[in-house]
Amino acid sequence: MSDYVIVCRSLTYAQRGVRVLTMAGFSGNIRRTPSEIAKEGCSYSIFLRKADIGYAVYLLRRSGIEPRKVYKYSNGGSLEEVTL
Amino acid sequence: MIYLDNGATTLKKPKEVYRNLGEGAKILGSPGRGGHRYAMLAGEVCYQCREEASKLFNLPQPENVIFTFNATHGLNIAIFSLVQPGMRVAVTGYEHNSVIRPLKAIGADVRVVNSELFNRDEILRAFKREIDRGIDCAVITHVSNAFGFIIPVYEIGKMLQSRKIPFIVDASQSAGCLEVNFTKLGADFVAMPGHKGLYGPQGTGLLLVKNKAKPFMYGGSGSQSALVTMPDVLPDMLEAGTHNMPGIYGLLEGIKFVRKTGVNKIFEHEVMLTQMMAKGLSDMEEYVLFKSNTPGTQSGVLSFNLKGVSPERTAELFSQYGVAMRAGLHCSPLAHKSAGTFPEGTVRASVSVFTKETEIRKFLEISKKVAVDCKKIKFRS
Repeated sequence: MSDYVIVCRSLTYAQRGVRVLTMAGFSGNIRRTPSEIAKEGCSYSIFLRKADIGYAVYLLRRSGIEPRKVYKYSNGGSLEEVTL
Repeated sequence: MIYLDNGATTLKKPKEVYRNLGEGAKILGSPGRGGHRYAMLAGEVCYQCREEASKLFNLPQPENVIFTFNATHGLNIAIFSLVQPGMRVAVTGYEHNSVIRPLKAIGADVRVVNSELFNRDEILRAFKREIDRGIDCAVITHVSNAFGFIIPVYEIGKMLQSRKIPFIVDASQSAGCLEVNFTKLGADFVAMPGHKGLYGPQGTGLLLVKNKAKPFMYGGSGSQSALVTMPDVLPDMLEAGTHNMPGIYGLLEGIKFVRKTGVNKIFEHEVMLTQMMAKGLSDMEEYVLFKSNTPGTQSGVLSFNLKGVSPERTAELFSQYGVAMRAGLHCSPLAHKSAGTFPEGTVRASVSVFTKETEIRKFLEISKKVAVDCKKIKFRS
């Protein structure tokens, strides 16, 4: 079960992003963005397990990867937007 | 068959390229078109290929490596992104029709920067003059496909950058056999085929993009699908429609091969063979050669003619002896006008890293036979 969903601007950004995060010790993978948060249609996201999401987003931004949105799974399983 | 038409397509590829072409057709789905394993695997192949290319060409971001179907496709994207009707566009006198035709179609004011063949200093001086006269943009081939003339693109690029003039580099004949350092070049776009010096399959190409570009084809991108406009990010903005996945999988191995072998080593081998051809042919008085005497100004391409015989007929005679070469204008009438070989053109022998010295020796033996055959034909007629 993932804790965070980082919605990416494209599959390629997600691919570079997951490499940046993996190199920094994060555990994540790429999947299709869940439909309830895919506002502009098809997209890909990085799914992260328990993580310092602030640091993860910082690393992405430092690499020129600006996430579209970041969401957190609530205890009930719904997705809530995280503002960073 | 002695294959000397590598300037058109390198026929012999690393074995891994053939393997991936076949496998790719079986296991790769469409990248960005699903979350299942076949689509995700295709996405991974695309990314790896972009990453390999970005390392070879020194690009900081793999997403700025765009897949195209050939160099012409990439050049069209680049030219239509930068050029507006009436813009003053400087080009070398050695450009291919894939540059000239799109510029003419747009209605650009094409300024041909003429120079003598293999004269680097002259082309630099001529470019400076044209820049001083005032231009809006430039398109420069790195190497003439017809003559192998290596254009000093880095020096020209420096001049253009100092005046903040955008420019495009056509690396069709240089990618894989000469250093193409995107960051050092400072170009806005660099276009190249996958099927020549990168040893990938036909139907592949790459466009390296600095930052801004305009979509050239519109359609599905697998991203932001709810919008009626193309995505605003690279590479999706420029990659509408289904990718040539078996081709990209093959190209991946081609680029790996080039990186492993080393661009300098490939260049040295190709130049050594070209010089061997030039030396051998220059010993035969029947041939007219277009060769450079200045090191570093000619790549693995040698144009020549057999005196009194048309290039097409000459290539046909060589073909009868099992030598494959291209004759005529090589889709570069401008280059032949600049070199004084228009309208008949030349015969072009172009080598690759897989061309062997024994093949060149055999080619030279055949050259003697062709010359003798022609004398007989002339005598009879």
